[in-house]
Amino acid sequence: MSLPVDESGLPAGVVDELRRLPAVDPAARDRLRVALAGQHRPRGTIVLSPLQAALAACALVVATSLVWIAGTSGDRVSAHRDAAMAARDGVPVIIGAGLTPVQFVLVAPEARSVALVGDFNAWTPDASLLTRGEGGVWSIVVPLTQGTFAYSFIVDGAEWRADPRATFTTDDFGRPSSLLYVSPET
Amino acid sequence: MLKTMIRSTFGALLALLATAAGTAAQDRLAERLDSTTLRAVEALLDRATADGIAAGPLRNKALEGAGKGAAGPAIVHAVEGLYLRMDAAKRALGGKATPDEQVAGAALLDFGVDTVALATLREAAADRSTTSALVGLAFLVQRGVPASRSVPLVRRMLEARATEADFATFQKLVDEDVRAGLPAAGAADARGRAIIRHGASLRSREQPEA
Repeated sequence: MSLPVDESGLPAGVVDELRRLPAVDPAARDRLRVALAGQHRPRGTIVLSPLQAALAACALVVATSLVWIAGTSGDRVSAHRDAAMAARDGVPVIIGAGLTPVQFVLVAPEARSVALVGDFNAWTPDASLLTRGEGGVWSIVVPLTQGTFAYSFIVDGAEWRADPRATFTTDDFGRPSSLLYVSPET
Repeated sequence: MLKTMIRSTFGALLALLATAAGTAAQDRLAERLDSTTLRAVEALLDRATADGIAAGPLRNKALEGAGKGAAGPAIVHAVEGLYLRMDAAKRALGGKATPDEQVAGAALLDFGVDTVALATLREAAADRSTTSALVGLAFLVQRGVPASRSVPLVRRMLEARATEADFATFQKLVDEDVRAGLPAAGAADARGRAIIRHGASLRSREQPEA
């Protein structure tokens, strides 16, 4: 006598049993934290197989060349590259690839200078200075990757202003900021 | 064999570039923070990574504090607060919430929208991104539209499969209406209904439908 089989050809019930997920141990998070606390792997360590290690040597030459090419494109572009890299969680960016030009505008007729600071330039005050237009309309175009960015304007080196046309972010430091989302559809 | 070599090369290249960028961002923190603050922030970043919370926004919050001249304890407090809000947003939006969704959700929690509302919007969006909807919702709440009105509106827009571009248009149109003197709640209702009906083909010169 043969066992009944299902459409997979295996005995009935075997596939269901294989598909059933193991129960999640609620204590797993605590064990993970203990394990992490005991780890002393130096930051940035990468484990590669012998084949990957050999290929990584070739990749290093390519990567170094790309970084050198990007770095020789001028201070403003270099600042934007650093800013774009700072904005993402460890994902590198080459200027021109996957960037959206975003215009920031602030109406401040009384201002002598307006700077743009945010996640995209590591909150560095002199990295992105706006240009004054007619009627005291200050503006700048910044190439950004897709993602969320907190930012603010600094008027005359002292007054911090959120963007009145954007969503505000949590004011953690007594100086207002705004939130921008550059979507993949932008 | 060739495919394995190509995959290995690509993976190694990405790992090297990502490490270089991550190291650069870490170097920036080391330059801007004192050693005590840096240690506390790095511990939070490690915990966030272990818990599936995006470390980039937390790192940016520390840099923001440094850029704004905040004291070390204030920076650590701010990073910890953001971590907790992002963690709560991630739980409400589901384990696969993207870093951008975690950030947008955290902003909403700070402005009084609760995790039940986030979960409702996650359900309405199904497998689509909620980031643009969450940012738009935060915009409405900050302009004085109560969550009791703005959350159901955004949910209906998501259920009507409004796209990220739709939400960007919606926020822009509501902003223009408010600047023209219309009440934010009325503008949001009118623009939201129009978006549900017509999508992003609306232009800013159009008056809101009655």
